[in-house]
Formats: sequence, structure tokens, C-alpha cells
Amino acid sequence: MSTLQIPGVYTEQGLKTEDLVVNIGPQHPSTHGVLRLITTLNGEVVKDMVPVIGYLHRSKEKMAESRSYFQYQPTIDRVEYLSSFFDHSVFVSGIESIAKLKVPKRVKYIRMITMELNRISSHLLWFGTFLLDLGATSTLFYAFREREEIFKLFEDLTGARMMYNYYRFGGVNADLPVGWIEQCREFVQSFPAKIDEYETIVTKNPIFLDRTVGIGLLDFDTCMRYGVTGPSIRATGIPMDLRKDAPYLCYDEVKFDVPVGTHGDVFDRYLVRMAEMRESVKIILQCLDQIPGGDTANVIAKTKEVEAAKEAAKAAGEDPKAVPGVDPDWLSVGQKINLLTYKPPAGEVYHVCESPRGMLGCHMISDGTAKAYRVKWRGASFSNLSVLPELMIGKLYPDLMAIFGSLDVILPEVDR
Amino acid sequence: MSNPNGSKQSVEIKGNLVLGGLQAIGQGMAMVLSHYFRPPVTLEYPEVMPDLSSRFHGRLCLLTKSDGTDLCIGCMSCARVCPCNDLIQIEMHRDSAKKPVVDRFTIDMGRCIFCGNCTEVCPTDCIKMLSDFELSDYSREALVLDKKELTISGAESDKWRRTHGLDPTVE
Amino acid sequence: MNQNSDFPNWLPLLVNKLVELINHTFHTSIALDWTALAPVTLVVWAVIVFSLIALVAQVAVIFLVLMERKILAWLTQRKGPNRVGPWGALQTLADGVKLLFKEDIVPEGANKFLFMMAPAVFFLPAFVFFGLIPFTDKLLAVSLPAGALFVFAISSISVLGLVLAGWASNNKYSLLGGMRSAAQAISYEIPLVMAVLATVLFSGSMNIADIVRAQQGPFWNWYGILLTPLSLLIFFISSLAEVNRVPFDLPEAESELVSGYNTEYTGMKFALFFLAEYAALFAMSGLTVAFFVGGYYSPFGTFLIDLLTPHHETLTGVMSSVYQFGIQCEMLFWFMLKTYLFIFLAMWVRGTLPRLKPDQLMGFSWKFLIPLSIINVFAVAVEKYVMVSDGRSVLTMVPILSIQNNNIGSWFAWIVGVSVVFMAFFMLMSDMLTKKLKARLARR
Repeated sequence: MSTLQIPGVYTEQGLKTEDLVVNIGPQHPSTHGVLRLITTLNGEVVKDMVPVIGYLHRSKEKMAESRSYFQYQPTIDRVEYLSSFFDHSVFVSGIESIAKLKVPKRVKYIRMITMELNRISSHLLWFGTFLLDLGATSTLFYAFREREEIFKLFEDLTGARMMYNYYRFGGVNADLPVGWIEQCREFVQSFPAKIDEYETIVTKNPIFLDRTVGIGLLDFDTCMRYGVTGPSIRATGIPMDLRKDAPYLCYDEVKFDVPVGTHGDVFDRYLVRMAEMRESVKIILQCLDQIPGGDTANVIAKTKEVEAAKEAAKAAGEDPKAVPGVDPDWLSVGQKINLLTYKPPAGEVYHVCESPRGMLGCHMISDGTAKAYRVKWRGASFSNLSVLPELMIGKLYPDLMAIFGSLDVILPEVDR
Repeated sequence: MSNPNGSKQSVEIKGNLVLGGLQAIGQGMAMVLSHYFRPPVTLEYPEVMPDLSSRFHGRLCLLTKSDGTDLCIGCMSCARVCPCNDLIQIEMHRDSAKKPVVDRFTIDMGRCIFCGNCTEVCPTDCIKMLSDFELSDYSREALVLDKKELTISGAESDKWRRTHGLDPTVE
Repeated sequence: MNQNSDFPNWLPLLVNKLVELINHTFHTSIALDWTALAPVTLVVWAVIVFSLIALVAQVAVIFLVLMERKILAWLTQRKGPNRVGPWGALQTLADGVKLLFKEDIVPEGANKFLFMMAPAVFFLPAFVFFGLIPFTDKLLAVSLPAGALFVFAISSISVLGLVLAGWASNNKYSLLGGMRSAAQAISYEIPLVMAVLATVLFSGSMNIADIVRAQQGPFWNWYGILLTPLSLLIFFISSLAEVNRVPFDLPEAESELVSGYNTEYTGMKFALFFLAEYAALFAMSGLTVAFFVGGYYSPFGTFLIDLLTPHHETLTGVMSSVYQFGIQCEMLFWFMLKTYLFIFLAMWVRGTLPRLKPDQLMGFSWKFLIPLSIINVFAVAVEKYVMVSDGRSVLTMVPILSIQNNNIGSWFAWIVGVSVVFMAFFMLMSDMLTKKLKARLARR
């Protein structure tokens, strides 16, 4: 029993300990955005963790109410900048459902190709930053080298490297450039070898294994309670993937597997995401082979042919309308819409897609005017982030980096 | 939950962990070293300029007819679809022959998000995007481009139209 | 005359002349005989050599900063800094100037004196090392009979610098970082020293110059190549931990809590920490080379020298001095090449491996490296016993033929010793020590 009386430190019972309240973020190199975690630490054990969000709130949903649909589209890219094609896809599908617009099959394939390429680039960024948080610096640069290739493809396609603004109501902005399909195929065929390279550096590394195996165990019930979707829930063993469960676009016409894990720890989430990149490669290759019309050069040639035939028919006095036109599935836009004055009919729809982080949804209410009445985004990262305190409480603090990195949380989607 | 065919992902770590671990580390290090012998992917900007596509979202410009006269009719379509409020400011009046004359056309490039909405709705294919991305300047005011700075010559406009698949000459 | 210090012949004469001059000018009467002048000569030589080495080391350390950035860049298919000076050579100078111009902030409530002393306490031991490492057989500042021990004693002082930095910053996160780095450094001192024990056993002396001299000859004579590669591995891993490099760089990891002990340091003090880390890396690599990789000896032995200068014994006068100077250059070249090879290895490891967690770090040291190094010492002792230690080349040390006395007792001892060693290695390599990780992998 200590007789030393230092106020506040020593008591008659012995040493008084105090829990340390630590603020992780909002300025922190590893919170993948601006997130504040108020952590109560007892030594190295986390006793409580409260995420504070809202630092990246940009009123994306409110902005939809003061802008016309076409005016709002460039801002959709920024709801979640790593998967902008997915954001666009749910919004544009929503309008197409409300207004019952026809979407040519070529457009659906183009959307699928771009979305899967976007998934690859998002997973590459996740891979690089996850390993960077764990301490390995080279893999970040390798991942970004591949991302650069994807950006070049997207730049040829849309003109921008990251904020694409490419999908339109009933179609896309412009058809694929001539030769793009070949370039895309070249990249995608060389990509699995790169994934093998990454796995050689990382997967069996004992330091990596020790930091990720058995850490951050997530089970299916917890996922259901918090609404965790995407690779995090697939790592628990349940093959929950919207592309298979409720196929949209033309996902039922391509063959691919849904990778699942076994135990739901950080290592399984890593494995699932690496496997998803390979599956995306498969999907893209099939789409490139099956796209109606093939390369744009074919479409242009066929269009010219049809026009020439129509001219010839007109010259010969026959009805030009009798000449069969270009296959409507080959078009890059369903019907011409005056983007300035477009007013979809009143209606309400909720469209959801499988983004790299999980279920990304857009609930849209249109009241028949040029501006939306309400647009609500269901962000996958919001639900994925909410499970973080449950995973961390009672665990050691240094595991935070591995767990948080493996959840793949992107703050713009959380705050919108 | 309709598809039970998820493909299970797992990595088997068998054998001696110490030797296996050393081997894995060795393989990883060999893989990293192999990159030493590959050519660097660095682009030495500004000596080497990147190869941009023709659809690149660069600086906005106003094309002109082949003889250099204005193509803009002051319809305000571009200002109406711009996501940023009051970015494009246009003032026009009609002259005695009821032809539109644009008095003022300013774009604040400092606030422009380079989305390309304006370039799509222009009825006369006037406002377009160049491949110019080096837009930094010393003051915010200098980034506000007026009509004179935005307009490009007739010859340049023809070149732009030719490289972008439009009809080269416009009368 | 101290046989070990190998200072050149002209030095005693120079000192003699100097003392005569002093006697003449100041009318003193210092004795001119050798017993009086020997310590003075030693000190003068130490100062000359140390200044030279410090100069070389400064340049080497400054070069290392650039080398790290360039190597990491080339390993990731980029070019490193190449704008400032040819091939980016002046980059470190630019960084240094930038840090000089930064505002020197001392946190409120920090212990000012300790705050200023910590970088110096961290920086100096790294430079003291340079006096003990034999760059060539003559370029050695001080030749201590217990050099190997002294080196590690000095390196422990730099740990004190880290703790001071953590404490004096008045920042609980820096304190945590400082404590962690102190724990790490202390844990990895033990395998470090035990790995060096192997070389001390082989060479029979703790004097670093002697250890290097015992590895004379081509590469098969070097301790780390044929005799005890395991010691080299243990020493290399522990030296990475001592210098706080990845995978052991938890104290300065950015993605963990904060930047550790150097959070509150700005400007030149930060630069001192930074440079001290590279100086320590250089010094540790130099020690690795000295202890295990033959120091300044060429891997071809004297083959190359004999090829290029076949009649070097017959040279006289100026040519002889030039020849000696050439030999020194050649030795320095090999030493530097080998040191930079190990530095490259450290940077290569940095680019590849992720960081160890604190419990992984301590577990790796206490539960794996230390038992391994203890067994290694036993193994080396057995090796030494069964081999003749008369300085012959390693290639002639065949165990069976050279057991002392060659009687049944020593054969038996040899068999028992080797079996014990093998069993121990087998046990170590088995999953007994990595049981926990395997269980985690299997059961999760």
C-alpha cells in the first residue's frame, strides 16, 4: 500500500489509471478522407471509438433540387469519385425507368465495360493505399501504374481522366472511339499478370499475414445489422452480389464467378478484392467480344452503307424507309433528348448497383418538372463505416490501420 | 442470396512457416527488384507533353466561322446547363437586321469544373474544349476569360472541326 | 610501439619534428624518446584519420539521402529526383537548405535544454562509429582492443537520444513513440551482439581491425559467406531494427498514431534526426561488412593486384608510395562497394516489406531471434572446435580431417555437438515457435 500522496495520480488503492482519449484525424494520412475517430484507449486496447463524419459534406442531394437533370449530372461524378461510372449508372437508370426510355444494347455493354474498368481502378487504389497503410510503399506505385493505363483508356473515351460525365439518358455521350476496343482488350489481357505480380509481393508475406489473418472478424449477422455490403460481406462467405442476385444491364449474359471468403477477416477481404479484379477482367473480355456492332468502325461503315442504300433507293424512286436501317441495338443513344428542356414524367424509383464498395443506390422522386424533387444517395461506405466501432472495440489499436483499410471506406460517399 | 455458386477464395499456408516465410519474402523482394530493370514510366513534363486524346476536356474556347466571324448566337444554352451558377455570363442584343450580336461572354475558368456540358448543347457548335490544360495564372481575376481571350481564329476553328469529325468549313 | 594501430612510417618522424619545433620555439623540453611520444602520436593519428573519415562520412551520408530516393524510385519504375543538379545530385543540399530556413519551433512546456540536446545525443554516436570501423588497413582512427563491445555500447546511447526526444516534446504521442523505439532498440541489441560473438569466437579478438584481418583472402574466407551465414542474417535484421528502418520503423511511421518522437521537431533539428538515421545506417552497414564480409579485402584475393602490378615488391621510392596509395584506394573501393551493397539491400527491403506491429516486433525479437542467436553461438562454438584455427584458408578446414588429436573422444564430441546443433535448428525451424501464427491461420 503506497503512502505517497500525489494528488490525482496515486491513491490508497494504488495507481490510478486514466483512459487516453485520442483524436485520430480529421487530418491524418490514413483515414482515406476527412474522418475523425474519437478513440478511448486503455494502453493499446480500444475501449470506445466514435466516428465523427460530415467534414466532406457538399450538399450533393440538395444540389439536385436546384439544378436540372442534365445540369446535375457532372456533380454526380463527385458523389463518390472513385466509382463515378457507378454513380452515373444508378442515376441515369433511374431517369430511364421513370421516363421509360429505350436503351440500346450497345449502350448497356458500353456501360458494363466502363463500370467494370472503374471497378478495377477502384480496387487498385484500395490495394495501393491498404498496403501503404501497412507500410509497403512499392505496391502503391505499381497499382497506380495500372490505374494510369485505365485513365488513358477513359480519357480516350470520355475526355476526362476521372470525372467522366459520360452517360446520358437513354445512351452515352459519344460512341467508343475507333480502335478503343482493341486498346481495351490489350490492357485487360495484360492485367491478370500484373495481379499475379502484386500477389507475389504481398499474399504470402509472413508480416502481412500476421497483420491481417484473424484480425477484424466480421460475421454475417453483424453485416446484416449494420447494412454492410460489397466485398466485406462476401468475405464472410455469403455470395451476395447484385450482379447475380438482381442482374441489371446485361450482367446475365456474361459468365463470371462471385468470389467469397471464409472467415470474414481482413485477409479474406483482401483475397476477395483481388479475385474480384480477375472476375472483372473476365467480364470485360466477354463484353468486348459480345458488344453489338463490334468496333465503332463497323458501326460507322454500316451507317454509311445504309445511308448509301437509302440514297440509292430514293434515286431509284423506291421508298427509302423500306431499306433496313442500322440495327437499333448498335446505336449509342436510344432517342434524342433535348437536354436543355428535358422533363421526365412524375415518378419515383430506386435503382441500386454493385459498386466496388457495395450497394450504391439512388432514390429519385421526379415531379414532372425540369428539376428533381428529391434525390437520395445510398452510399455503401456509410454503412461499411458504421461497423468500424464494433470491429475495433476491445481490440488492439495498431490493428486499426489494417481493419479500416480493408473496409475500403471512401469518405465522400459517407458525407455526400 | 439466389446464387449459391460463390467461388471460395483462400490461400493455403502449408509447410514450415519459417522457411516458407523466408521464401515468400524472397520472392516478393525478387519481384520488386525485377522492376529495377524495366524502363521508367515517368513522363518528363514540361519537356515532354502528354499525349492527349481529341476528346480531352481542356480550356474552353469559342470557335468562329471559317472567315473569323462570330459563331455564337447568344442563345444562353451553355449558361443554362452549366452546373456552376453564374459561371458563363453572356450579354447580347439584336442589331438592326435582327442578327444576334454578343456583347459580353465571360467564363470564370477558376470555377469551371470542365464537365463539358456546355459543349454538348451548343446549337451552332461554337463553344468547345481545347487540349490546353496549363491554365495557371497569378491572380483570380486573370482566370476570368472574356470573349476576346476565348475566341480562336477561323483557321484554328477549321482545324479543330477537322480533327473532331465535324464539317471543316462553316460559312 | 603499439603494433595494432598501423600508422604509417612517416608519422613518428613528423611528430618528432613537431615536438622539436615546439621545444625550439617555446623553449620547453619535452622528451623526444618514443615512450613519451607514443600516446601523442596515437592521438595525432586518430585526429587526422577521424577528420578524414568524418569528411568522407558526411559526404556519404548526404549521398545516402539521395540514393534512397533514387533507389526507391527505380524499384517502382520511376526516376528519382533529377531536376536539382545532374541526376539530382544536389537534391540533398536543396533539402538541407530548405530545412535550414524553416522556423525553429520549440513547443510550449517542452524542456528546452533536453529538446535541443536530443538530436545531438542521437546524432553523435553514429559519428563515433566511424572512428572504429576500419575503412582500410591504415585508415582506422582508433584501434580498441574491445572495439566490438565498445561499438554496441555507443549505439545504446543513441537510444537515449530517442527517449529524450520523446520526453522533451511535451507530447504524449511523442512519448509513446519514444518509448516504443527505446523498447525496440533494446530488444534488438541482444541478437545483434550475439551475432557478433560468432565472429569474435572465430577471430579470437574483439578488436575490429583484427576481426577484419582474420578474414584475409578471397570471399570464401569471409565469415558471413561460408562459415556462419546465419550470423550475417541475424546481424543484418537486427541492424535494420537498430536503425529504425522498415520493417521496424514503427517509431517514425506516419500512418500510425503520429510521427513518433520527431513530431515536434522542425528545421535543422529535424534534419539532424534525419541525417543521423542515415549515418547510423551507413555505420551499421560498415560494421556488417567489417564483421562478416571481409572488410576491405577484395573478393578475388590478391589475384587482381598480382595481375596488374606483377613486380610490386621491387618498387622503390616514389613509386613505392604511389603503389601503397593505390593499394589503399583499392581497399577503400572494396569496402565502400560492399557497404553500399548492404545499404542497397536495406533500401530494397524498405521498398518491399510492410511494417511490423509493436507486438509482432517484440515477439519476433524475444521469441525468435534471441533463441536463434543463442543456438547460433553454440553452433559456431562447435564449428570452431572442430576446425583448426591457424589462419589457414577456410577451404582447407574440413571438419573430419582436422579434429584435434584425432582420437575417439574428439570424434564423439564432434558427433554430439553437430547433432545437438542440428536438433536445435530443426526445433527452431519447426512450427514450435510460430505455433501461434499457425493456429491463427488454421482456426481463425
